[in-house]
Amino acid sequence: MEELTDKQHDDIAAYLAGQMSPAEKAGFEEQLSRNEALQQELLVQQRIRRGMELLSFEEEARALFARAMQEMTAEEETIEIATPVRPLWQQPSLWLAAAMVVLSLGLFWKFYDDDGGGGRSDTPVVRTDSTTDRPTPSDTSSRITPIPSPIPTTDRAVRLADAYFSPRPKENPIATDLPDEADAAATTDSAAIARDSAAVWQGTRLLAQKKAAEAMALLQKTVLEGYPGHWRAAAEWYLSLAYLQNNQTSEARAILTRIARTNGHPYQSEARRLRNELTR
Amino acid sequence: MFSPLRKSFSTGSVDPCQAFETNPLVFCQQLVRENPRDESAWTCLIKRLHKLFVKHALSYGTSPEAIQDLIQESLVQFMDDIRSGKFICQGYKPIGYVGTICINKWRGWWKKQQKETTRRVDWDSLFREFDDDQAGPPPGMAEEPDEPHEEDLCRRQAARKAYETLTPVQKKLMWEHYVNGLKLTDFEQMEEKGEGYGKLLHYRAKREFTRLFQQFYNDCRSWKN
Repeated sequence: MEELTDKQHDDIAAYLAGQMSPAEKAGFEEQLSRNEALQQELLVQQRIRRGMELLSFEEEARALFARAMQEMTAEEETIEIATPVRPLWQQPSLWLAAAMVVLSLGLFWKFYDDDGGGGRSDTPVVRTDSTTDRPTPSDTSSRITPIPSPIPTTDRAVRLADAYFSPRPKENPIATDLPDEADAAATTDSAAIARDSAAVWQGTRLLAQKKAAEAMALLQKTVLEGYPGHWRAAAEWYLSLAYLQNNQTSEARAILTRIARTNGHPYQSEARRLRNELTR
Repeated sequence: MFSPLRKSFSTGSVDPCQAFETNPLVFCQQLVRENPRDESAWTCLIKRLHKLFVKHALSYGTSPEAIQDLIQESLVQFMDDIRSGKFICQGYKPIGYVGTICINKWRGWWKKQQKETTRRVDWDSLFREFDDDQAGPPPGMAEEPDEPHEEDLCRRQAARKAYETLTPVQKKLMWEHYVNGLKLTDFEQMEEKGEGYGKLLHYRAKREFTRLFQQFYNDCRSWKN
């Protein structure tokens, strides 16, 4: 088969891009009908062009989807912040609880008082108890747990990240089922899963070394491009911890919210607890 | 290292989400614009689609990861339909169109998962969800199976795998030449290289890409059939 000239290559590109005038197009098509090598090359170029076009759509779709999800998360955050929280004194359940406590204390005090004064109680324990004297304020004050001083938000985020961090990611409870792909493309999918799990393990190592930024970059890639399943989910969890370690609380909270809402997520319960602690 | 150059996006002055409700035609025109694509309009569409689709998909046990993949696949097909002229802003709303694509893809996904027998989905009501009185999906589209797109799926997978094996500079050339339509001589200038550099690079990149593309494409087709 004859070698094509540079001009013919350019013509193919122009033809496929629709950049030829009607006369040029007619001329090229006439040449095409007679030249087998040109026909072959046109087919190859068409195939490449189509593949690259679809690839570009995929990239665009991924970027647009990520942007939409970011906006949705931000909107959810705004709604949560904007939702008016009723002050404690306006919550009936709290009033009821307070009333119950007061009532219990009153009853306790009454029986305690009666028992000490009249000795009507038949309970031997009370009778033999040597501490029948009323407790003085100084007695009780010593038992009150001191109120901890408020911890700065940044320190708190890091401490929570440390508290929830486990250097060993959870194992995949169910073997990934890839029956359809196992025939021809098993290596690709298995390789993708292996790559994701390796990335999660590497991410945990980086987190253990307090290299949050490096861990974030690695885990973000897995979250965005990883194979759907256990390891991508694990990457999400560790990414939230990386954000916390890096004091990016709002980003961490956004991911935790998503995990907490995802039934079957391997870290759903942890995410719920951590998110609750973060919002305290 | 070269990463695929994203096409430029534009954020128009008109709020597309407002136009979504008040002026569907304007919204649609914003959406079908290509070079640059109107990012705000697309974001608005994706948010609507996600909101509509996710509640059904989750209730039938589809994982969030699968939902994300299905939506992205639907967007790819919608972009392709815009490019090919299959979708035009006449007669039906974009959300109905892309929603129908999404449900079709979900149906295909269910078939693959072989779960359709265990948890039956009321497809008709789902199609109606994306439909409305003035603008539903194109006639016959609701029954359209996802099979014709399997071939494109193989093409895309093959292209991605082949593309990933290229060197950074080869990737750059392929993207600029085939996606952004840059001439090889312009590529040479952009890279500040001498005459013939673009053609040689293209020759090698194309040869490698074509070989791998064909191999991956055949693999994909053989296990799908």
